[in-house]
Amino acid sequence: MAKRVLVVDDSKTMRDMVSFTLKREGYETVEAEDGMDALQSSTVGNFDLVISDVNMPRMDGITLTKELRTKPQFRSTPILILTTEADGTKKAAGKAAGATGWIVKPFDPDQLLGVVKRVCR
Amino acid sequence: MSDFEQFRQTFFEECDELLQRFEEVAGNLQPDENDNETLNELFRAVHSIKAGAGAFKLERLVTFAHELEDFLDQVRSGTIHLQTGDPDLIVQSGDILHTLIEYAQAREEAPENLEADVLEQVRQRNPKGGQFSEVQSAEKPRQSGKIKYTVKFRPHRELYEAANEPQLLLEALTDLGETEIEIDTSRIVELSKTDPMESYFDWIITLETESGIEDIEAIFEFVDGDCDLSIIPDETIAEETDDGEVLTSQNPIEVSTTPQNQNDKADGEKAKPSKGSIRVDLERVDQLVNMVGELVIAQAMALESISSEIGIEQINQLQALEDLTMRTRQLQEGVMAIRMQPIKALFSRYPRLVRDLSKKLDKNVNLILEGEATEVDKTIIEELADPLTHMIRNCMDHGIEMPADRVGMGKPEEGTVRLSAEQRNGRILIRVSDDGRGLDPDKVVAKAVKQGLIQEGEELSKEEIEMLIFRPGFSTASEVSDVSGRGVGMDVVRRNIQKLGGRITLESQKGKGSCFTLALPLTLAVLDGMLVATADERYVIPLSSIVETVCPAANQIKEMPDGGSVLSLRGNAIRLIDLCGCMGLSRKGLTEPLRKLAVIVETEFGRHVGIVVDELLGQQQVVIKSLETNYYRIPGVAGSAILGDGRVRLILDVDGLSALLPKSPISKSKTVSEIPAENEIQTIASGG
Repeated sequence: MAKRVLVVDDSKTMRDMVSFTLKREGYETVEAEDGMDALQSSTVGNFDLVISDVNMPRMDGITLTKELRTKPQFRSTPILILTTEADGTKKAAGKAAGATGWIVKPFDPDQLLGVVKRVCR
Repeated sequence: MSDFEQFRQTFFEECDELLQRFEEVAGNLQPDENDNETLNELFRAVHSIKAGAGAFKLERLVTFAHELEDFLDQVRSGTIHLQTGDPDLIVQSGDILHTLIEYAQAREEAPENLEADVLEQVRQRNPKGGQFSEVQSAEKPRQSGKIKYTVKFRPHRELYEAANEPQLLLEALTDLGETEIEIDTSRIVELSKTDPMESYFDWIITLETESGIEDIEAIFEFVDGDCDLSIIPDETIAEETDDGEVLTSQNPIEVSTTPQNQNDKADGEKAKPSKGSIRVDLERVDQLVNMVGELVIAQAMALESISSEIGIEQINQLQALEDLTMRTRQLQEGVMAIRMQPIKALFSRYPRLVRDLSKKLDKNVNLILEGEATEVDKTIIEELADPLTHMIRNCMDHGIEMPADRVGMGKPEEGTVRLSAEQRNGRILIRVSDDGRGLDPDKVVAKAVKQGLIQEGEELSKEEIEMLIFRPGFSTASEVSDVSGRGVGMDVVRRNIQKLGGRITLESQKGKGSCFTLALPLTLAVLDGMLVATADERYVIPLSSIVETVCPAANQIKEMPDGGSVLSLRGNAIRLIDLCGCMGLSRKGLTEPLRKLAVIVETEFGRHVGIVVDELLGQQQVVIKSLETNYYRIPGVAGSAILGDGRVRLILDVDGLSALLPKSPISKSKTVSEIPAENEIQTIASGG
């Protein structure tokens, strides 16, 4: 069964690119515009992976990660945060909140898939 | 369109929205005030632009956005305090982003030093900021042979808590080369004492690979701090790199296991209501608008055919049809609403303009925006941008006096420009007003005489004088300024507004200020028209250009030497156009129309012309169909429409029709000496 990925980013460009790359590899994606939106989507069905931007209106990716980790069905779901550059503080904040890893933007499709395969069983 | 192109387009569309928001928000920034919500928004906009730009390898944009983002980040975190000049710097940076994006979109290289100046200023304000250097994965010297590593890996419970999976890490190691994996189970406790979240395994992996140690470290990047890890290159298979440098090291590299600084403060972002919008191609919306337009016509046709042969048995049909009529109209309104946008998108450009101009002109001006929520057709919004800019410039340059002069006149030092929008009687009214010096009628007349627009001694009403400023080439400013130019504007403004089916008027009081009023249709897709008939043919005259309709008495009409005729109306001579003759029709044996009506229309430059028709058939909304795309352009015809009876009717272009008239005399000049008594004129209807 195709793995389901929740893609959270307020930028449609980023969402499109992540989704497109994953779909081409046979993943199924669900998109959300920000943390709040993602929390809503998270109640519908199970996900094998969450990829979330950090800076978003309403609810940022760090808060989203924390919120998801409080939900039993997300306790062992890998969560990757999207950071713009090798920003140590964001990575650390993400990790502290329970993120599994991160993807540094800009990424190319191979990089993205490489990271996804490292965390998604 | 390739996927990549699609992403690119999405990116640029998104940039537009982000920049618009950026400009809107940046315009409100105040020095000494680190308003977090505002700064967060600015930061996010730049951040998103940068991320997208990176994906498309727009390096200059990335570099600029990065430094700006860093600066904004420092400001919002309070490390840097906004000083005087900073808001301007941020606004300027927005402009640079805008320009860089425009160049990127056109796939052109931006001028070399475009951003240099602003970038330098940003750097000066944020000297500690990380200057952006693209982290290039510099080709590392590749060792020529394989190295054997021993990797010792003991996961902590935190590793599992973050949903990392040792198995996947081990698989990733296996991808690097040949591995031998040993599992150390010595820590395993009795089953009853096990904690399901705890880890009891240690792994020892021997890996023989050509990859460098950093590749191995990269695999464990995410679990750094959540495990004990040591990577020891213990046996060198090939000792030398291409350069002959010995790479082996006997020192184990211990990866730090202390958790990193937990900087997880959530950005205190204000909740914004979700709009849940979708992006739709404008063309699709227009198609929909057109289709609904056709539906309205079809429905009107059905109604007409049924009501013409009404009998008892048709009553029910008629009722059903009227219900359908109502629904169709609702559908039409709903579809039209898709094209409507709050005028705020347009208005929000102007605080910036006013601010910049205030500085340039050394005037103190406060801009008041009203009715920003008023919804207007998207095309109208786009077309209004330039005219409004021009009018505001005019108000600020010519209208508002210098602060000292204002105080001398007992006015507040700060001038006020007011921009308002409202919907009234199915039209949008937009007003641009100022409390400046107003129009000086004597000066305007003198100027107009000098420029040959009117003759000396000609008597003009206040309204007529005000209309003079819309004549081409008219300007009263004695000096040409680079702010509002030499008056080549108001006529263009007027023409643009007329093209939109709107009308512009000016009211002014000397010393008190002036007010431009734009009256615009709600939408461009349907036109409110007056259906007229001449010689059995029907035409549509746009309601917006109709001033009034009169039924003139015989003695009001004078024949002119050139064969034309003139109507004398309340002291004015108005050129008449016989629609029948104009359209090459003959009245089939009737030498005189049974009942002659003159529809007085306003043409360009406020000139009034009377169109002579036989009958007025009533007002009707019509869907405009372009004649040019289906046939070719005909002078005097603006387009066509299909009416309820299913027949195609032409929509008249009043400017085009009046151009068919002989050039002289001008309607406004008083060539008719007889002024008829008011009661001779029967005003039938007035439109507009």
